Amino acid sequence: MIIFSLLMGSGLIFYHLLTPPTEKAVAPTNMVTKAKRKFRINEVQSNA
Amino acid sequence: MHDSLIVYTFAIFALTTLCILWRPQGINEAIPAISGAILLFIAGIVPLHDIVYIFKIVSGPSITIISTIVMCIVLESIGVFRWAALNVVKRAKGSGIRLFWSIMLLCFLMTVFFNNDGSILITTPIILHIVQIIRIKPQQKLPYLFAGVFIATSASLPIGVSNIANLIGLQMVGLNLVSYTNLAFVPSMIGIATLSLLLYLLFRNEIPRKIPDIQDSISDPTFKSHPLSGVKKTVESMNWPLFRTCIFLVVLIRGSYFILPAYGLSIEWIAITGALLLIGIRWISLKISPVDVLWKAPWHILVFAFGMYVTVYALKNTGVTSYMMSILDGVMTQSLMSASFASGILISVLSNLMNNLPSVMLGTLLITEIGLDTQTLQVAYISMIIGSDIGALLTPLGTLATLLWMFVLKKNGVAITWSAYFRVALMVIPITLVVTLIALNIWLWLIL
Repeated sequence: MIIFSLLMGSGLIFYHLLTPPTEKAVAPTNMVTKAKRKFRINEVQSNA
Repeated sequence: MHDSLIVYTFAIFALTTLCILWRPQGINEAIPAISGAILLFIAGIVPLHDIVYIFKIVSGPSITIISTIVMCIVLESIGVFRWAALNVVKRAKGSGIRLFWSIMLLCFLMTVFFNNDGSILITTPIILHIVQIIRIKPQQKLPYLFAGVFIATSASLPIGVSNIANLIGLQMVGLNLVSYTNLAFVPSMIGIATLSLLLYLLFRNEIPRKIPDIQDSISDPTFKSHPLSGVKKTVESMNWPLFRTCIFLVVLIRGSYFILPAYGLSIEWIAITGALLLIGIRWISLKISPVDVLWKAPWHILVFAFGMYVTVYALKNTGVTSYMMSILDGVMTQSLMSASFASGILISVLSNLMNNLPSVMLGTLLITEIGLDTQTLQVAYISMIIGSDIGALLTPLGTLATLLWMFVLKKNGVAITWSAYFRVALMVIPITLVVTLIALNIWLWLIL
């Protein structure tokens, strides 16, 4: 069980090493894009 | 056995080993190995019942390693390692020293979760890419390249499943992965830490203190011409849930090797299941059929390991092991420490003369014939693996992984001569070998 836990811990470090920090920025970027689109729609609607 | 048959066996063994290491016309190493085995079988030196026995010993570990490499191929095809180079440089935050340690960590984990040859094949191009990104002088590339190969190869020591040479003799000496890891994990981690430290001390003047910060490069307009241009677009196109699932599965399968055998499931079946699961997930998620894996999978490993074992077994049948036994008998039975040092140093020497796989095979046959008690037998086996995974690094001839490394470097225009390799290895490998063997003996004294 100790070996299994050690491997799982090493797995987390491995994941951390292989995942680029930019990946975390992907979801917010999409959210920002969606928010901008929604804002534009609202702006168009209010102008109309 | 007749003298002419002994000469014939030695000649076949020498020719087979030479062809495997030299690989004339770039032939696959399995061809000379199986050719040698066929010639020895025809001559009657290795009879049919020995052939069946050898196949039983070799098939399980070979299938495990093939399945592991298949997992590696699947992960590479979905782009799991695509970001490793950029990522490691980013995490170094402009420090060449931090980059040095990050590369060693990456190589260590790659071997722990896959195997040493796969690790070399994946990480060497990554390291070459890293040194290209940070635009350093040729001499400054060496610390990173040597750290990669030495750590990737020695990292197959702690858990035993990362190298076919470690796996083949395991059952013959009555060990399983759990008992192997209990004995070998702590000493081998001390050995790897020593090796890392020695590499750092050796190269500390060559490692650049500061490297270009990759963030600057991304904001740099000239970055567009760089191979990594268009980074953001590809990050967005990456299937991250699939990425996470695959890494989680690889880690889980590795962990299962230490739990499921207790419930009667063999390691090779766990490995096969893991490989099939990854292929299936990729098929469903990305609609990529498994045909590419069938083509890329290193099926020849089974033929190579089988052929090599038959060739070594022929040496045993000629009486080589009995002769070696008469020389080593006294040292091996004297004490646990002497058995450990004798086995470790013997395999280190043999590996650097004729590669570590045949050396470990021959050594295992030797120690099982001496008639040692179970404890000494197992300690001698682990010491042999220390010799095979660390001592064998003294020359590029010692392991197939180092030969692969030289080949990958040459293909990418980085020429490291055998003498340059040996000069570096001589400074770090003998000390690491002795420290690891001492650590093993202290560990045994603590736990037994």
